[in-house]
Amino acid sequence: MPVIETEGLTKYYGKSRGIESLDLAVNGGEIFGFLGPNGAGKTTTIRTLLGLINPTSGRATVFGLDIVSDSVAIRGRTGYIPGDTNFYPKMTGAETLAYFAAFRPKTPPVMRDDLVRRFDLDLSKRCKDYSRGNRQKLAIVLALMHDPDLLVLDEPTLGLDPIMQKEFYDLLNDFRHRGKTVLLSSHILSDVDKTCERVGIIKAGRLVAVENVSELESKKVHHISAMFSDSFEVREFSLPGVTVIRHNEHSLELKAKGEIDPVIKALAAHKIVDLDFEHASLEEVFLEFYGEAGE
Amino acid sequence: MRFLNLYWRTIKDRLLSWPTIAASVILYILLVIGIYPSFAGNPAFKAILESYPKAILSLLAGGGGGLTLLSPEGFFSIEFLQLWGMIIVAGFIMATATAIVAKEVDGHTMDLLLTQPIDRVEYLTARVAADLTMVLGLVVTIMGSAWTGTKLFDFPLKTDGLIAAGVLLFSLYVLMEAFCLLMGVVMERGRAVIVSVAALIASHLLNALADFNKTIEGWRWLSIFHYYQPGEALITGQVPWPVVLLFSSLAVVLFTAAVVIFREKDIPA
Ligand SMILES: Nc1ncnc2c1ncn2[C@@H]1O[C@H](COP(=O)(O)OP(=O)(O)OP(=O)(O)O)[C@@H](O)[C@H]1O
Ligand SMILES: [Mg+2]
Repeated sequence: MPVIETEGLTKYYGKSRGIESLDLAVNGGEIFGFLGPNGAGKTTTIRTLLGLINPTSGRATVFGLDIVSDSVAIRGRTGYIPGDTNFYPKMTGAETLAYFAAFRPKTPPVMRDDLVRRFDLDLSKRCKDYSRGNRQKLAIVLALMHDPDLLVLDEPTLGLDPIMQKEFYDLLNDFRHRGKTVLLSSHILSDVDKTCERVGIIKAGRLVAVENVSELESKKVHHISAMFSDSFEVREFSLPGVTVIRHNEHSLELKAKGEIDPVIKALAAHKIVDLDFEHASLEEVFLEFYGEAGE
Repeated sequence: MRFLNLYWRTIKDRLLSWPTIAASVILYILLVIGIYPSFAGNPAFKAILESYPKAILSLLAGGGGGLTLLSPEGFFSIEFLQLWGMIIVAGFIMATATAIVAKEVDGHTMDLLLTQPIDRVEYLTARVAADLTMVLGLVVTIMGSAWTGTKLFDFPLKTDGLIAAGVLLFSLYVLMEAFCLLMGVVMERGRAVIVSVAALIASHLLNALADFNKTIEGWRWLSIFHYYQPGEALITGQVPWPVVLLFSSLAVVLFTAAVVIFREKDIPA
């Protein structure tokens, strides 16, 4: 049975659409990516699952428990990390952890010290003196210290430096290997495709696709920009699936769909000074593949 | 466990403000009672008081009816229970009760709390219980200081009168707590405080001006101060149970409304 299951879940903020008729299933033991552009409804979905906002219609269960009537029981087994967390400014990190730990008497914070060490967090500071990244670390410790069965993460790595981001994703993997479940929302594709097995793609409040990461269409679109010390002809790059976006005497920017080997070979014919090579942004992928859906 | 955690946290948060208010209440009461003998014994004051327009006296006394500043009961009631004591403790209640929901929502800490396994009703109950404990502490402090004053100075107030007035005062504060809590549930903190202050002032003016204007008189029943007559309780030593019951029932209605609305409330990101 799925750990999270929603059926026609709908939330309207007055007349404004939050999510519409969302059907989502997240299985136990997986890291499920929840991907969508700004305003798509990721946060709305997550906050509805946690009982922070009430659904307008539809239903959802977590651990088989109803999100409206059994919310307290669900939250007892769930850790939540939002993109930016506000703590009580005058409490220290240690006081904050102790205060919140007391709300979960049945699950002692077994992982607290380990996490504090891993993220190199100074607990003696007052929350108002933490930098944004350190606030985020505190939120991570807070959400994980009770070793919950489900983690719900809403763009959790905003504000973390790359080393800490890696530490965080390693942690999620450990977590998953112990049979736990993670719902990870993001609008950054690279965040999701390194960690998740499956992703749900949400657009304009609706789930438009659920795919295995390995088959994600977006992986087939690349952005390439190159600088050459010699000159080149644009038509050298008129290959199937390749669109030249910009070019001048020594630089070239292009988008490649599908096979990239011919592009690399064409590039290699010149003396390259600098090269940038990345997956297309999520927005582009949406336009490309899911453009009509959900509008 | 969760209840107690919220309860003690709330008490700890007031560890500075509560003693400050209690101390100022004690000092002020002893001062007021201490100067009373010289005040009441001076015929000149009596003459001045009697020469004041009735309107001014009534406005000061909040429509105190037959009370006079020249009896200990009238003096303590008008000077403290209906004026400074009311303002100081009402200020404490407005600041704390509106904070229960509005401050946490405005500061986004409600997110953290409500993603813990805390029931929303339990949250409100625990925090209101903590606030009311502290308010009860202030009522005991007020009546205790007055009782001490009667022993130290020539200020004959009956002990049963003090207890009766204390019960009445506490029931009024419970009503204020429920009102301010509800305001904090339905609007942001700054507005909730403004509305609470405005309601208190309007209630006072309504009752005071009703003595002089027939139209206003017809609306007097809307003012809590029409029912709140601590001077009488001080004199008779009888708890005005109908009034206490009225205030408590209104408080229950307002608290229930706060619970119902808070349960349905979306906590926006
Ligand atoms: N409190 C609110 N009142 C009115 N509309 C809201 C509210 N919160 C969200 N919305 C609307 O609901 C839609 C979904 O917003 P949501 O915050 O869930 O998106 P998101 O996918 O989390 O976006 P982002 O990537 O920017 O965090 C948006 O169109 C937004 O305007
Ligand atoms: Mg969001």
